[in-house]
Amino acid sequence: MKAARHFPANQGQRQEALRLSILGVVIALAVGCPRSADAHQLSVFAKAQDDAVMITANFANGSEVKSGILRVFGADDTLILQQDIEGIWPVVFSVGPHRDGLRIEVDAGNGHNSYWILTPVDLSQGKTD
Amino acid sequence: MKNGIRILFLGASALVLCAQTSDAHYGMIIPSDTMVEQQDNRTISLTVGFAHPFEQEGMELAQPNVFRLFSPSAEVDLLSELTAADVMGASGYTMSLPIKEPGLHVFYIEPKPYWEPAEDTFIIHHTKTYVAAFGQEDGWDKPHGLITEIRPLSKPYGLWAGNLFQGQVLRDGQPVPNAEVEVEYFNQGGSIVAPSKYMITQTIIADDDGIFSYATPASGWWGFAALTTADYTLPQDGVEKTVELGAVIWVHFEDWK
Repeated sequence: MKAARHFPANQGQRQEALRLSILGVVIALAVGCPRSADAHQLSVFAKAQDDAVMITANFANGSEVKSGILRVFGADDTLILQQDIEGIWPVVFSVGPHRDGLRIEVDAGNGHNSYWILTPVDLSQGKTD
Repeated sequence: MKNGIRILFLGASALVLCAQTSDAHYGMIIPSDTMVEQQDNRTISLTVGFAHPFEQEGMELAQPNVFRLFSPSAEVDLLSELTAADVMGASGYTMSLPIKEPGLHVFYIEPKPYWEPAEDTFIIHHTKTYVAAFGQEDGWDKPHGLITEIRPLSKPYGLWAGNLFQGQVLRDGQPVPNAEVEVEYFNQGGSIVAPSKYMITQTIIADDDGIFSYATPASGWWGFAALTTADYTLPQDGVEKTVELGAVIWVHFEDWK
């Protein structure tokens, strides 16, 4: 039998609210995401570190994406950053006020696209203040 | 009465012979996930043990000499992260590890020599398994410079049940011609019953380049162990004994559905 975890009612409610809000952010960020191509699979990875976000994009064999478009969207789906990919990785940008979640998309053309989502928790782990 | 004793003796002999036809030993590293994607639980748990995996019989695993992660960015010593645990009724280890970067994560254990009196030899199984993360998988066919290892020639994760798994047996980085490779299913829950003890351990002889192939009949964890004899001995009760070196790889095959 699994041991039950007991929280005070208000703490349990706070945790549930936090869980639901994170879930909501993830769902909101995922809406409208491009469907990644399966062959020549491209993957995007991002992590928050020292108030910055570091982004990499590689094909499955490890080779870096040489060209395409990088877009970063906020939790409310507003476009925060768009730039041409010039094959220089990682791309680094300051998180700034965008701590409610980010969706980072890379479109390398010919159906090669993918995304990575940074949740508020991911972003807070890279915060230094 | 004499006939009764003779039958009893013959029965006991048969049991001993049967026991010798099965019971392959396997070092084991079993992760909770082999393909971690961004929507998955990014903290994997690992179970580390030494066992007869088909028969679910654990053997004592002392604190290993080495437990290492070959991560995409570094080699990481994880020995101090192991927590003692019961693995199939014997001492083993578990640990949890958050996956933080894309790429291959190869877990490797070098156990202390295990004295096996029934075979009058020491056993050291150099064991590894692979976890791919966040879409990257470069380098799955590269050896890791181990004393002995199986170099995968099929991607060692994300295989369908029934797929052919191919590997190359290496010793000191060189192919082992005609190496003997034992294959065994991790019979979790004991749901599979072998019709004959001969079927518990499948055996393959590799080709002149140390390359072997095996098609699994079912999904789940399968262990491949290539056995060679070390060029040194170890003392046991004042007598020098041979050392069996195992190159073990654990591969998970997925359901076709």
